[in-house]
Amino acid sequence: MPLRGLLNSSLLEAGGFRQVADPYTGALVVTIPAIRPDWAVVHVHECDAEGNSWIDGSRYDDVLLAMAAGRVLVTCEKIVGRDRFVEAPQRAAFPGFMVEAVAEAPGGARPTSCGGLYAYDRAFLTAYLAAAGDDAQYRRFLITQVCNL
Amino acid sequence: MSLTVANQMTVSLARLLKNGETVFHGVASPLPMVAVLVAKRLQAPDLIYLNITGSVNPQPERLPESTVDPALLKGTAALFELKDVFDLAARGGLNTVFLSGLEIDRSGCINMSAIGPYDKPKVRLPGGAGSAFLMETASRVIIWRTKHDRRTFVEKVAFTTACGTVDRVVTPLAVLRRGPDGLEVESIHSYSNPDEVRRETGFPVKVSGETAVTPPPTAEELAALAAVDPEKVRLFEFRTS
Repeated sequence: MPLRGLLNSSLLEAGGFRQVADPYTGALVVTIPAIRPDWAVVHVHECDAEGNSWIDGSRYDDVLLAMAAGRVLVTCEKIVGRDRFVEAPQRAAFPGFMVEAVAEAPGGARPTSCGGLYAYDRAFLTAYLAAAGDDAQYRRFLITQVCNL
Repeated sequence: MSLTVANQMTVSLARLLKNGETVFHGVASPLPMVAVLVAKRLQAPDLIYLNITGSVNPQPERLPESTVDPALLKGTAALFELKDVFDLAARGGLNTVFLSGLEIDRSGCINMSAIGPYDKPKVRLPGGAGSAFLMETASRVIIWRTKHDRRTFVEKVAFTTACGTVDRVVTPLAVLRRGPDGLEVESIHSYSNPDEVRRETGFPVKVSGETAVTPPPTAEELAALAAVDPEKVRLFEFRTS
């Protein structure tokens, strides 16, 4: 994909991004190779059993992630009926045929935020940060705080 | 003290904004958020305010500490998502962008990537997000940073994440502008002094008793700050933990 900018940045070399001449103007343009993840896992507000997915408010890069990935897993706050999408198809951020599997997982974005429903969990993330520097502490953190064992 | 600094920095940022221009800020940007809303109340009512949530001229009921919070969507009549902002910048339609950097050098280049070798860094920084792109496509960039010391203001950044159209840099001590030889001190805030600015800046700056003093916030600006940000979200960036 061609991109304006990035010419002054050391990221150009660090990322190994190559330049091509714009065939219309001759100007050098940075190009970025496609990223093709095997999987994207996207958490949405609502989806139906086919994977038609509704994101409330800002979508950020979630749609792009789903379109780029080989296969898509959707987790959602709530599974709804297909009729919710049929009556207003513009609600779907991406269609179900792109989606491999769905799972209802209320609170599934935690400790990060889910727009309009819950904010990021600052205390949890601070605890993670404190634990992450040390393997034993981090293992204990995973067992007690993530797996709730 | 931090309220004095936050107020001075916020109004210094707000004063730079012009009526009718199109302005964008991204994540982790409470000071720019408050500054834009203050400018819209004062000299720039027709400024077009874009931000990373995708809202256009939002009218938030309360200001969030996180600038990706959906509170910043309140009152928008359309969504203009991040990819749209990047396209707008690429076609030359984005006037002003707020960016920051862990390191900022004399040329106005910023480092948001790494200290030490990029592939095996001593410290991995959060990353530049779109700054490498926006610094070369937006008409101008305003940098703000809530620290002014020699670790932040360096002769040359350890890694150039982004470099380009920096116009002004607003810090707790001063306002810097880009001149022919790189960043120069435009004005020093009233509670600081030339010695402190010289001592805390890692590249040579010409400052003296003749250097302009940044006008402290006016009564009108303080009233706008109180109206826009009654919960003092602008202090968030000054928290130490």
